[in-house]
Amino acid sequence: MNWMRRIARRARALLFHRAAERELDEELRFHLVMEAEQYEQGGASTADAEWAARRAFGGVERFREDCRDVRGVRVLEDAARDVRYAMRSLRRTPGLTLVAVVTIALGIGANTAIMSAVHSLLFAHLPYPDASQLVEVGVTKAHGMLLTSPTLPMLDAWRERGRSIAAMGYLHAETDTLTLDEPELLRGAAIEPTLPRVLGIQPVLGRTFLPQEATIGAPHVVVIGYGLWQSRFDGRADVLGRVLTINSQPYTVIGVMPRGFDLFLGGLYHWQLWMPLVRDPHATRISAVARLRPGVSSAQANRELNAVIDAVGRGDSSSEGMRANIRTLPELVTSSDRRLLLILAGATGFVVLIACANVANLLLSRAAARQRELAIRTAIGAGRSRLVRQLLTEGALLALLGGAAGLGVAWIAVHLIVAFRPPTQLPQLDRVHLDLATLLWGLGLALGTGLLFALIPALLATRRDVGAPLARGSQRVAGSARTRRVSAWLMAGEVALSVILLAGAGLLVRTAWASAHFDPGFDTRNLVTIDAVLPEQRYRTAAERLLVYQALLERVRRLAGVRAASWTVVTPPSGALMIGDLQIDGRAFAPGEDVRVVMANAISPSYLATMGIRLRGGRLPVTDTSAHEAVINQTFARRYWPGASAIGHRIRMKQTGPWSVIVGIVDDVRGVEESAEGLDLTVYHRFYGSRIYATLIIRTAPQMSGLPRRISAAASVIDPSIRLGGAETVESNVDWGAAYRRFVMALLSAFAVLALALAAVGLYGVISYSVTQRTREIGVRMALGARSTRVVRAIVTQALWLTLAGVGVGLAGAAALTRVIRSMLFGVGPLDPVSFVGAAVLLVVVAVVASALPARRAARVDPVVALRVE
Amino acid sequence: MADTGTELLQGTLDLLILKTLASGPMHGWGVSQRIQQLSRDVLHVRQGALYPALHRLEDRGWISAAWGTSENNRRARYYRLTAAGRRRLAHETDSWQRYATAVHWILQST
Repeated sequence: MNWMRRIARRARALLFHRAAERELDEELRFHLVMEAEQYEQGGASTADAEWAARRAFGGVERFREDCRDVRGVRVLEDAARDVRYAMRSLRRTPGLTLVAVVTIALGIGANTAIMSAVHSLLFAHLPYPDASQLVEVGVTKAHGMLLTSPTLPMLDAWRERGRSIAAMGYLHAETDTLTLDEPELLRGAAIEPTLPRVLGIQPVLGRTFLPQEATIGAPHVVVIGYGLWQSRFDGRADVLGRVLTINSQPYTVIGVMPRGFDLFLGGLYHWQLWMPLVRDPHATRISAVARLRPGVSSAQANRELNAVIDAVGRGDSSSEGMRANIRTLPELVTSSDRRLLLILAGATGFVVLIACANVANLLLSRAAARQRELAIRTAIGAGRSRLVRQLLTEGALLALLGGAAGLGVAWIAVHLIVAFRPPTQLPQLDRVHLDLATLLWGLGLALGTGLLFALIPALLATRRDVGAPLARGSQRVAGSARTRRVSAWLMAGEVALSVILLAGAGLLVRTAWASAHFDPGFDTRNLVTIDAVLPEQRYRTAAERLLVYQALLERVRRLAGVRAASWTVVTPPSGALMIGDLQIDGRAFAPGEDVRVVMANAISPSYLATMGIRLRGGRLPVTDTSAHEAVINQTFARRYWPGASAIGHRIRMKQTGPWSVIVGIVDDVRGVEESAEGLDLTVYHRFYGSRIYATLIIRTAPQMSGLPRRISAAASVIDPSIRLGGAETVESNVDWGAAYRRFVMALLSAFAVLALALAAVGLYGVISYSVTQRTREIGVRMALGARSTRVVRAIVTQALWLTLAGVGVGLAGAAALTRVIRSMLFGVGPLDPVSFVGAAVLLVVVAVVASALPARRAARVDPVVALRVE
Repeated sequence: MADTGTELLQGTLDLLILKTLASGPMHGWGVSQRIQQLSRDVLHVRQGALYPALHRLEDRGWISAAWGTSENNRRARYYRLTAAGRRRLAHETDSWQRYATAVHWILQST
């Protein structure tokens, strides 16, 4: 068959391409000889005959290429030759090659490392089938500032009639005390027996709940989490049937949930205990998880739930202002990290772009230096596409070398990220790793950028006609105007990107500084918090609960080493309860005139003394529980009673209910989480035991130990079923926000330094190249009497203009982009002049140094030598 | 790069080569001389362009090549028409003639 013969021929041509080339040479030579002989017979001299033969034949090289084309292996042969040639030519300029490879490696490495984090966290595999269809059914109140749950009637109505949901299950988050050897406070949830089916999850051991187990009086059963099973029961199968003491009640273990199941809802808690949810129509704090029907978006579900809220909640004051807030599980799990990761990914994207601009500039200068070579090759018949392909091969080779090194950098960077991650935030960071997807990403990125940025110089270098560079006999002059213009553009872009990164990093460095010198408004030393939960069945009214709380507080106060103690419902310094509808007696607010959201905290009278919050006016609330007295912070007082005394005015937090009299004004307490510009209005109410959970805040003597155990003992004297959480120091809570910011700051600063270094290398490279190109011109000037300082100044000025253009664009870009990191800033505005001016000045200095060095070198050259430079 | 004389129509070079080789094996230079001679110097074939065409025809299997000795005792690559090439020539000649006739008619009609 014909085609078989052709394949054989091609294989032969590929394998024996040297022989094929030899034969082709011989055949063409024979032709030329014959032609020349003919002319000679016609009377021409030998030289003339040869010349005429060649003219008659045409461009030997072109037809030779065409013949190779016919062999059909030319592409491969060319590629192999290009690679060999590219390697040779890269070896000839080891400095440039090294800079390019290192540049690409750093850019790709940083980006791949961050993309690994993005990949591991944002697209983390949730242990549920079709997790993107799972949603948390939440609602917001008070203009979206308060996150809460829908009421049970709303949930029921939606579950019954909703067309966008396939299934829905309720749960009720709890804190349970598991007593094995010692009481231990664990997160748990009461769930409907249908919930595992909604989630599409099976226990790894045993079973989940039966419908009849979710009724009052049914035997107590519990399903435990994988983590608990491994840590406390060594993963043994005989855990099934064991009876555990939970909240002082016996519970039989019937199942073990698979690994990863403890990460549902919000993603940050480790859930370890599940019990059946016994339906209680008056229950509050019911959460729901639903599975959307295939193809239904969360926006559609939101619309439907809003309709249900409006229908069911009409006339019910507690549902006023409720809006559906349905988020998919993947969104929930990563919502807090998403922003950070995207910012970091963006930052490393800048680094990659800077690296690319550098490499493009390097290739551009190489190509310009090879004008003559390229022109000669064009003249003897090499096609433009052929030359472009060869230059692209060089780019691809550089990119692959850089990419391979970059993966090494990424590997190190990932390990650094995991090693230095902040302890509490981003718990999933320890799972970050390089996998096939991110490796391919890194290599693909390297190759893509390498080819793209090799294309610019390749097209520029091969576009001009043959004559000019050859005729001028100089490699410097040829077409350098266009090349230089592109090079300048790239340079200015590089500077702009660096300015943006530097300004962003500067903001975060300033933020870290502000955090370190932050005055929270109270003394954070030796302050300990312990959460307490009362058994709901035993203490049904606020009065009953308050008695228990007070009894416990009295006992705690008497413990050795306790200087002061108080109840609070909010743990300082992080967030407080946010409640809308502030009412001020004798003042009417027009709707929407003011979003009246106030941080409210209920505290024992001893709270201010325990915390060390300074009183600025008035007095502290009295101990008498019947008085409705409130204390507000200075920001609150200034906002509503500017220049007047707030004391004696009455406020309340609900449309109905008793008014509280403002009796005192205290210092602002700043949560580390809030930004400095938005100080919260805070009101402190008397703590009266409205809920079954509260937080003990205790000022201890320095270096206290064993306090939690003694408090636990004191509590069990009052009621053994009181559940206590672990002790946490406020200091560590304050540090928590700072640690998070430090981590982000360290990463962004690293990228900014990287960007600065790359930009400096790039500036230096471009300027020193253009100076080298102008050596002859400089020589002429010096020979004509120009002083070397003038020459240096001219070159530096040129670089400075380039830099200033880049800085201008960069500052504008930074102003637009730093909005994105506003939420991470603290004690510094997003347009902080110090950061912006600092970034600009730093880059200008770098530009001056990077241009002055080659300029000085050029100015020192002996004019005679300079004039001879080819 | 300007040529005097008539440029070859795309694809006609193949036909000319096949026709030339129909009279017997010939080396590349011989083919170029023959085409020039037969066309009475009207058609100008850039000699170099002949070789890619020869290699292409060889690749298609219409001609075959072998090294031989030329009339003045040099090693030369001789091309000969294969059976497939002969069929191809008949086919190409036929379609060329129909084409030429058609063009001729059109040009005559106005």
